[in-house]
Amino acid sequence: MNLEIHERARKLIGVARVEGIAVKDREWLDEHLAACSACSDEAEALASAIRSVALPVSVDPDVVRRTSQLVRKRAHQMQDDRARALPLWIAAATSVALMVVTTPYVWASFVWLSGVTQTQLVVWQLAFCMWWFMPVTVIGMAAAWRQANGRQI
Amino acid sequence: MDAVISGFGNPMEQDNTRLAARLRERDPDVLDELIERFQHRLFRYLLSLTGDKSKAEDLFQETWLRVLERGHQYRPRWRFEVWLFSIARNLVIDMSRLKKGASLDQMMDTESGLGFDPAARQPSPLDETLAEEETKRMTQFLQQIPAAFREVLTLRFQEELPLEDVASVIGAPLSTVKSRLYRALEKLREVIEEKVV
Repeated sequence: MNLEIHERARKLIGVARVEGIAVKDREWLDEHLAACSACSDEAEALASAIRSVALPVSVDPDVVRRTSQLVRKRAHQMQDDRARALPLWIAAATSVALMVVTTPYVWASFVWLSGVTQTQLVVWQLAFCMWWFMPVTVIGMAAAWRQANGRQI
Repeated sequence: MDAVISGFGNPMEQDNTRLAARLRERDPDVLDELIERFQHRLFRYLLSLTGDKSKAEDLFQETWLRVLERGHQYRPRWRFEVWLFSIARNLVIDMSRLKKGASLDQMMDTESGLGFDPAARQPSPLDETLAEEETKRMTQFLQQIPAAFREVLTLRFQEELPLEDVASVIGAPLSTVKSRLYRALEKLREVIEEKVV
């Protein structure tokens, strides 16, 4: 047998372990390993190396128990946070819906008010913008306050 | 993660759909079931990455908390263990970044000398006597393998993940996974040969 054959066998031994080889190559390799003790030893050494990776390790049951308790506690905490955040979300949604629905009327009111008070165009338009953003600002501030106090929105 | 996509409507995906729904609800019972089922596999993987039992235990807890918090991100087409290992790996990377100068890349470096501390187990006295020598010997071999090599070896040969899943977990192309595996095996063989000689 020439060196190339052993080199091929050596390469196939590795490839077979890592990504698998074709049936034809497997047959050739098996035949070669049966006849060549050096390559057979090589295959066995690799198999042994791979077996060595499988260390008999397991988790300390105390760690598992503590983890389970911690996760359970955190899950309940998160569920509580979600329940507490619900009224805020409802308030936000209602506020936005009301804003959208009432915008034409409020706009008309601001136009009328500016006419009555002889206010400059830019002033009442600014006031209208402030009115529009006020609920969002208030809700945002409430959310920030809750987060600062360790509550998740 | 695309590599772990399974066929549409198969039993695994149906199970995973139920799992995803329960994870979205942050159901503590499903977390308990998952911890019970994947505890040893996750711990082994963390140990292979960190090489340190107490770090692996801390990260074990952190990983499950992260699973709880990010449960809504899990997709039924993903294999759960691949997603779990990815979370664990990201936590190890975060931890490495916190430690000044340490990174997974540096853990690749054999010169950095990151040790390998096998996890505590509770065997019978007989098991202990029989396994002690062998475990000690194997641990000595693994001590000299860089973390990134131990990682792919563990995922491929201990967890028996397909190459595509290994690639998903470590976030690297398939070609990188293959070459890293070949290099890892070569290194492992060298180490064993040195010890035997």
